Amino acid sequence: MQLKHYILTSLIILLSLGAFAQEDDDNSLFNKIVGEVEIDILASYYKQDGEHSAVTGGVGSEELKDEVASITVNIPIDTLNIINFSVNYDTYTSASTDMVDWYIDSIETSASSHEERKYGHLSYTRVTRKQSSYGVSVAFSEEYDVESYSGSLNWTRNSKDDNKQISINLSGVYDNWDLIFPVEYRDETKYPTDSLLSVNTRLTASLGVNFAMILTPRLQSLISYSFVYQNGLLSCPFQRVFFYDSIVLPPTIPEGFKKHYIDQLPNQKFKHALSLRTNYYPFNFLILRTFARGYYDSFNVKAVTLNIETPFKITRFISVFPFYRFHYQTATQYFYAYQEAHIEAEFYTSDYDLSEFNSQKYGIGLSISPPLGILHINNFPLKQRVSAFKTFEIRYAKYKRSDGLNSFIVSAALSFVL
Amino acid sequence: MKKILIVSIISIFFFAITSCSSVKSYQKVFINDPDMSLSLKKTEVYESNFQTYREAAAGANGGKTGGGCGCN
Repeated sequence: MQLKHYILTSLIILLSLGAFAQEDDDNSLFNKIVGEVEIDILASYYKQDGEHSAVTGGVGSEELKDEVASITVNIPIDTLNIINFSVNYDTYTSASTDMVDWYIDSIETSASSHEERKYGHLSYTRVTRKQSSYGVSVAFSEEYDVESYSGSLNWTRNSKDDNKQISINLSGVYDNWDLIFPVEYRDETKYPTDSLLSVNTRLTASLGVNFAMILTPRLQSLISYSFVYQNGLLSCPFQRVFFYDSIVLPPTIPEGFKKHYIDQLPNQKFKHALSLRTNYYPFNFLILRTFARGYYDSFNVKAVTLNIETPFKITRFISVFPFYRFHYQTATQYFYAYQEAHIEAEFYTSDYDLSEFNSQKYGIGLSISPPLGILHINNFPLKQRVSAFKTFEIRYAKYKRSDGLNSFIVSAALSFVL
Repeated sequence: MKKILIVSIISIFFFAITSCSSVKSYQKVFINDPDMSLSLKKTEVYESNFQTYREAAAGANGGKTGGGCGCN
């Protein structure tokens, strides 16, 4: 239903652009645009399940479904200036989020909660000289319990022979949370908010440095390093942690219910990530795309990620690409499984996303991208421009984690050029 | 882990600086193939997003813009 809404919206946008162009055929802004305007419509469906819901202390269903639709528009105003913007809509149902109100609804019969996220971004890029450019972007995101505002600056420089490129990106994200605690802790006369968590905001600052190089006519690589610093709320306010030793329970908790509290994590965190991406075209029908990343953060999580994708060129414009990804991470020092945490500990979480595990992802995709487009449409709906349905891409991935979480995702992308 | 990281960085830089030959524009037929792009494929973006939520590690390949804790 939401996907149909988004496709209809994109068609309305296209027709509106046509109406705008028709107002003044000679001098309209749209007819002054140099180069191709590219419109991407993306959609995906994600479903997961597992047995370690963090909302109920590391046990319980992690069933979740997520549907996303987005439109991205890239407009080269002239040879020096480019505008890019996107709007995105995300809707998900989660069995465990409904367990935040554990005592109000029945554990066995509660319906899954339904939430939405809306987000978008706007960016501007200017080419300053033949080999250099800079850009600025802003973005906004809204969910039921958090609003996010972000901005970034980036700078890119190419070598004279265009064989090497360096880029630097600085970004900041500000999250403002509406703290939603488990129902048993919502009586503010007994549990003032600042006694449960001291902050409801988070600031994330990141620095990214990328170095790309063409090594041979069939080989190119990209080295990326990113550093992230976070300050503020780093735990999830409605995730529970159960202790193996005693704690004074709120009087509203039914007799026999296990002793517990909410996630407590440090208010500061920094992360380092270094990756190498290498693409090689050994034969005319085969490409090798590889990716390797090392990660470390101040919560003592260390991780290695490896990915390989092998597009097979059925024709010059049609490719089928199977892929495989392996990921291993150590647990944060603050992770405790159900009923393993000690009440005297300062920090604790039972979020299995921060536990030790390995994961595997595999799947296959199809891409069709002829240079003149799949459908070539003259003078519709805009005069003096040719429209084309340029690229179609679809992809299926299966994801399995060693702690029992399983998921799959199907994604599709349609690209149009005007 | 730190030693592995340092050795990796040195190896990558040595690998990079030994690339002395210049590939001309007319030799970039294979490099310019869409499947040779060094960025994520368009359909890969949402996979990157759910991996950012479901795994502790992120970064050096793009990520989400703000948003919640990905609670499930």
